[in-house]
Amino acid sequence: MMTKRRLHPVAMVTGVGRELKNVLLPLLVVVVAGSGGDFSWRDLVVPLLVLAYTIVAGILSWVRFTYGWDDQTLQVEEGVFVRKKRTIPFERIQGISITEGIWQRLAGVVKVHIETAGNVPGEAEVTLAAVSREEVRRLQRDIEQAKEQAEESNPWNDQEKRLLSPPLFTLSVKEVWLAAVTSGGAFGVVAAVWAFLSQLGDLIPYEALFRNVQATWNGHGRWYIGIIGLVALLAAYGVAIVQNMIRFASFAVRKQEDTIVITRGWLERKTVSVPIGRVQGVMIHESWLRRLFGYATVSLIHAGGALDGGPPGDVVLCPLVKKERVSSIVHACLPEYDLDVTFHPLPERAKIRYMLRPLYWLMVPVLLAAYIERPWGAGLLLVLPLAAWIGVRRYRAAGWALSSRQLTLRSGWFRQTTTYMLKRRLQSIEVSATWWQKRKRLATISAAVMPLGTSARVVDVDGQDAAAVYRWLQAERKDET
Amino acid sequence: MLRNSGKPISEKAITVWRLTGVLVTLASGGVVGGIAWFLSRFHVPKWWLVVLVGIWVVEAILWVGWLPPLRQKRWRYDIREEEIEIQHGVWSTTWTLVPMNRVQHVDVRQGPFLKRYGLASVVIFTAATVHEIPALSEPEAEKLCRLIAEWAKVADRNDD
Repeated sequence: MMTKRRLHPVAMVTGVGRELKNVLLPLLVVVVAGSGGDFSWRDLVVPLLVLAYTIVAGILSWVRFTYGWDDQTLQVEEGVFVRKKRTIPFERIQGISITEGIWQRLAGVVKVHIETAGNVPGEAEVTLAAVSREEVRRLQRDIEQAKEQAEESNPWNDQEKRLLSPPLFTLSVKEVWLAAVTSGGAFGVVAAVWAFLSQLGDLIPYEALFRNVQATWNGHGRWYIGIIGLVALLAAYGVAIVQNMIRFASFAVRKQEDTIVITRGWLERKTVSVPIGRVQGVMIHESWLRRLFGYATVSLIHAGGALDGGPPGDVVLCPLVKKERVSSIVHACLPEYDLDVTFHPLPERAKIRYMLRPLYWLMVPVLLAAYIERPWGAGLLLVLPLAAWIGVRRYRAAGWALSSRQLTLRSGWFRQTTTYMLKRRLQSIEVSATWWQKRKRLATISAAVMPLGTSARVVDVDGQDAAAVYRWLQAERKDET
Repeated sequence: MLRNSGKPISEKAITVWRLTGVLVTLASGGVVGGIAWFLSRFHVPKWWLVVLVGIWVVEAILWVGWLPPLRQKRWRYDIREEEIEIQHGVWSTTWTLVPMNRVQHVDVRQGPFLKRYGLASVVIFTAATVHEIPALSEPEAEKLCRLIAEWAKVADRNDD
């Protein structure tokens, strides 16, 4: 019989802390705006009530959260007033990730995130906020045993196998640094800072600020503002670099029987386990900057939710890897995928469409700006041939490859993405052609895999080729059974 | 290139889409009216209003007069034991292929307009995508839903 357990009490602290973080900013705004200059103790009543409620709610939800498992299912009960009981069969579990935050480390516990199959993101996952290491190990062992019994795939299951196998892939310190420097995370930080400032909008007297800015601007102060902007951008970039270095520090990929185990992180150690059977595809990203150094990024498309903290279904297998090593690493992890395919290029008549496509939406704004800022604005016109040149690069990069059991699509230039998908993992294929495409006998291929909304596409493939890919999935039964 | 094949959807779809088009046009008429009223307070030249109304009239013709019959004509579907094929689109034609063993569940849906004309839509879910066949006659939709559910189950069993 299963015993019901509570989380380690540190879960109370982290839970209340998370809730407080959410209510703190609105509360601050309420207090500052509500007091209207003359501050009295009455203004604190509402915030104090909210604080007290948050803390009590946090404690109660810890008290009311129990979990337990037997040899087949994991059961979680939660909810202070409305009880929600969830039963998760072990064989439905898609993957597990383990995180050690600072609080968890202090208490000697870990946070466990369990992904299950399901269409609704958020509904299909369970987080155990603070569980001791031994317990996680026992849970993982029980899950694996249940799965093996169900699949009967590993009859020679001896304990020796459970020891850490040598890593298939690691990052050197230099590579961690390079990965951080060349990541696009800087833009993410800028966005976050912007979101933060707009949240503070009620507090900061922007109007007064803008008036000053305008005065400085008019008073030959463009340089100041330019320099301030540049410094802010560089600072954001610096923060992103540090974040990424922390994230990818001591990165290692191991294969343990039928699971790919990825461990990474400094301050916050994270372990992501992905069963090979749940991998839906392999993606290789090459941003133009990394391509210059001969590097690429490899990620797995994974059926569950956001195991890795990134977008749903995306698990980074190699943050940065020399292009020539990709094939052997992926082959070691996922022998079913064949990365050494020859790509069919797009037909010559698609080239002009790739050149013109960026111009459709660039033309009017660029011409307008060039006219308004004449005569020097005419320099902007150089953007147009540049865009066309990028179009040609995109045309050259795009392509597709087909084998009896695998479809590969490649597109993009700034960030070239190659997606490898097995036939039996494809959920549907769409071929579409606009009136213009039909006139040139071209079409767009788009292939969808799990999770919801993940698809790869290539624009302006030869119409006959697109039809061939479509029929390839259609003819599935005839050549597989 | 892929050919045009499959069964058409109900012709009453045109009427339903025209009705929806009327609603959409009325709603956008409200928006256009609001903009016109707002602009008129700033003494803008009259021809701006003419342009606005012109855009609105074109939209009305498109949504009520022109698009519904074309959409109905272009929409084709074909359901066989092993796969579902859907083809649709006026400006851009899309051919969709869903192998039967990928289907997770099927819904029959009916809005007020569809119900009024005895029509229903079939919505097909896979683990990664959602596909709709709109405006089928009620018995046809029921039949398709049952067939797909049945075939998807069989295909699943063969797959294991």
